[in-house]
Amino acid sequence: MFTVRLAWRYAFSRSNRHRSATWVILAGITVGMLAIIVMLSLMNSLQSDLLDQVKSIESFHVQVTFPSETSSQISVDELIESLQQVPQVSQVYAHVNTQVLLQNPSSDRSTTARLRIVDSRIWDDENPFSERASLLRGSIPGSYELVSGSSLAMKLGMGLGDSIRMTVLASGRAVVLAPSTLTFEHTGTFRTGLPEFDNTTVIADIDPLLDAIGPKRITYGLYLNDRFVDRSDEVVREINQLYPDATVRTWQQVNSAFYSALTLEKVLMYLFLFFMFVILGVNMKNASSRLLHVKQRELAVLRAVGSQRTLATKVFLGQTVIVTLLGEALGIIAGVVAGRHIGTIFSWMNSVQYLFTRRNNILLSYPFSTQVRPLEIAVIAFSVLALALLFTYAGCKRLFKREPMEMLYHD
Amino acid sequence: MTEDLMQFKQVSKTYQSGDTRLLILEDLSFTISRGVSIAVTGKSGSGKSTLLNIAGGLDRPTTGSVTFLGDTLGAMNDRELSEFRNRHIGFVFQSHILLDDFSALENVYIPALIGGSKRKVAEHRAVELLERVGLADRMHHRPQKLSGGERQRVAICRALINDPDLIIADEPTGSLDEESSTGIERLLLELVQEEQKTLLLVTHDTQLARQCSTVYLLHNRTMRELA
Repeated sequence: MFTVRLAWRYAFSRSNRHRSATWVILAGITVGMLAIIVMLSLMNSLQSDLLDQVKSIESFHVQVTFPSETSSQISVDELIESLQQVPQVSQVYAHVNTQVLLQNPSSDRSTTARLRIVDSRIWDDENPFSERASLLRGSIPGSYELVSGSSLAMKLGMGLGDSIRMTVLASGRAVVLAPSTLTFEHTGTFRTGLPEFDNTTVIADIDPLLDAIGPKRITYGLYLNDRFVDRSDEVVREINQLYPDATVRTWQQVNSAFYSALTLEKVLMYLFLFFMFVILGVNMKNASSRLLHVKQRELAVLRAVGSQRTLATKVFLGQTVIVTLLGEALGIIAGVVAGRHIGTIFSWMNSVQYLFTRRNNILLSYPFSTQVRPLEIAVIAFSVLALALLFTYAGCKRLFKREPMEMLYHD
Repeated sequence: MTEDLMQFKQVSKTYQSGDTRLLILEDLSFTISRGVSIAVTGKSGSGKSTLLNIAGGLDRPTTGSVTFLGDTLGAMNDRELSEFRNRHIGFVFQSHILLDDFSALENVYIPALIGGSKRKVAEHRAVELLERVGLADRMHHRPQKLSGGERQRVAICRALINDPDLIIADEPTGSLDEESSTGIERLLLELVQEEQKTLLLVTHDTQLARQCSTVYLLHNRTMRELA
């Protein structure tokens, strides 16, 4: 208990000439924790929203493809029904993604795009796709009809009812692949949370095209029950037991490049914030070293009145623990409060900016949300504490090793 | 018959300074009996402080042994030595070093807290001691607000708080002016007498040395008793 009191006094006592260093370090840790919590919780929220869009819109939760033999032996409907029987699976949609060339004769514009041919029921069923993709105008595509992403529609100048010419590469008689042109009616535009998807994709109904495509090119997209979305390994095992020759890929595997990029982005952000704490750590090292130098005669006296050799170590590390924990506690409280009111804070910042520039800041006007993860905060807090202790020890170890009485008599 | 408190048996101390071995004390043997006051005098650098450090368990002899009430200090580990200093020894240093971040009262009872006493008990005893040395109205002041003489009185109270068997004083008046020195000398000897303590004192002050029951001169690494 005495050690803790001594550590506290050494950190905050009015007679301590170095206490301004304590306050600077404390403020640094608080601001650091605040920044790290707000940034990470914002990032968590944005990333999780993005990943949610990716696995719901772009790739399904799991994708299954079958080898030619299975596809030719078992019908598409039978395969869908069989996959639907897997307990973790919520919905199954047969679909094909292919690159096409789109031409809009009415605007005389053309572009390459991705055609997703999928069962039109996907728009009506309750599933992650229908939750996140909304038809801005028009209707769900029927036979030889298509709907386009809002940005793509704008790019091609597509209006409702326009005839769109679509050139695809299909199996030819004389050659392996030959261009084939089909005409579709543009019946609607949609928007999702993925701008890239909206800019590149048209969607058509699979039923009228099934014969033309052939069952071999079909991929089966599975949506899983909520609690299995991030535990898709179990589903993969189940499907592999049912169809050992099927290729089953989870949404992480399908989007591995994108997923890795997001993970890397987070790691880099951690590193960036970590360096901020390293700078604080160096500050702590110097402050502790200076303070120990000033206090060595006092520590020598304490040794003379009965303290053990380890007292100085305990006091200085104790001081670091007190300052770090206080800074972390304040930073966590401030971070969580700021995270919860991030919208209000950004809106206020936007108002301040508007006062000076008479312009709204698009970034500050974005409806950000945050996602605070307690385990993540605990890991950060523990790491910062460990770092602080390490730097304090590094700053004092030379003096810790000296016998205090040497300092007393030979100073 | 008086009880032997501490015994030095053929104690030598050498320090290694680079390639050179410095012999500071050589073959010292003497006994400190309970209740006596011993003054050690000698030139600067003659090894007086080293002798006190060895007596107080802050340093170990290179050869020979020091026993306290039959226990050899050299055989004790750091925890046991710390406990020995806390319970049996009271130190008074020349530079009256106090802890700046604590009041005079807290400075006095810190050794009692280290020894495991309850704070209230320790505080009560500290107040008593500070009143006896005339610092009743200064006990809540920080050391920076006290004069050199007042600080040394606080240091003497700190040395007495755990009711030690042996008071070790290293030139306790060395950094004080003449007036303060006289007061502190008188106070130290009075308190030692009243509390029936044993005193091992290092001093250059012959007046002060003469008031002790035995005076040793430390010269050429050895000690001899002065008449």
